[in-house]
Amino acid sequence: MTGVQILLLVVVLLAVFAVAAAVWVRRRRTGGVLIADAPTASSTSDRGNGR
Amino acid sequence: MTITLLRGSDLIGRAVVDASTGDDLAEIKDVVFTAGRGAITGFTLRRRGFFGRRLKAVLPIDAVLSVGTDAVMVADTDAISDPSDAPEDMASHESNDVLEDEVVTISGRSLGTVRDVIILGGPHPRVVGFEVGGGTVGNGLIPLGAQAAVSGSALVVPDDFEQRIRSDLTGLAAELSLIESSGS
Repeated sequence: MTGVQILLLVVVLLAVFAVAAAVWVRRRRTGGVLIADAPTASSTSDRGNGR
Repeated sequence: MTITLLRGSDLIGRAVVDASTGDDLAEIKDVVFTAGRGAITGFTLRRRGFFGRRLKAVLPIDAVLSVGTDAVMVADTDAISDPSDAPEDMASHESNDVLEDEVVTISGRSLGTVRDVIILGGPHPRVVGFEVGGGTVGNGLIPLGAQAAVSGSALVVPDDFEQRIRSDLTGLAAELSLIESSGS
């Protein structure tokens, strides 16, 4: 295996690693502020202050 | 009486501390609230640390002693429960996340996105407003109750929304007082 081939292999491996890391970071959701499913997902009729 | 106002995003990652031992039990992942009254019904959790993984456990609000500026306090480890034992009003899904919801008027005009939610802390924490930004009306705060509807996709506001938006927390608190006094 020539030096160029080794270099190419390293570049490909790094690219694969970078893509995998990006996917992992994207999927690792940090958290959020969620509306409870019950009793209302849409709230027009359940507003507590009458407006 | 001290009123503690917090941002929802600030609660994410906050430590859950056992008040009886001082142990750091977990950290907050998601805040779950009811759209109507804004009452926070509980939290989903993850393990502490940068690589903290999701913890298959939840923290119902009834088990919380207080939501403070630096930690969420619980009486003991029994406060954390299995999701299957959680109260029904804690059921939610990640698609119900209001952060980055589009803010639209009833007539269909886009005004920006929900940047954050404002939470009144203490033993009975609740969502009291939404922080809006990135749109035509600039940054501002909408008190809970000023909106027509809210879901995991959009926050719908009246067409006269600009009159209800507040630029600071003091203005939001004043608007909330007005809403609550007129609603009671």
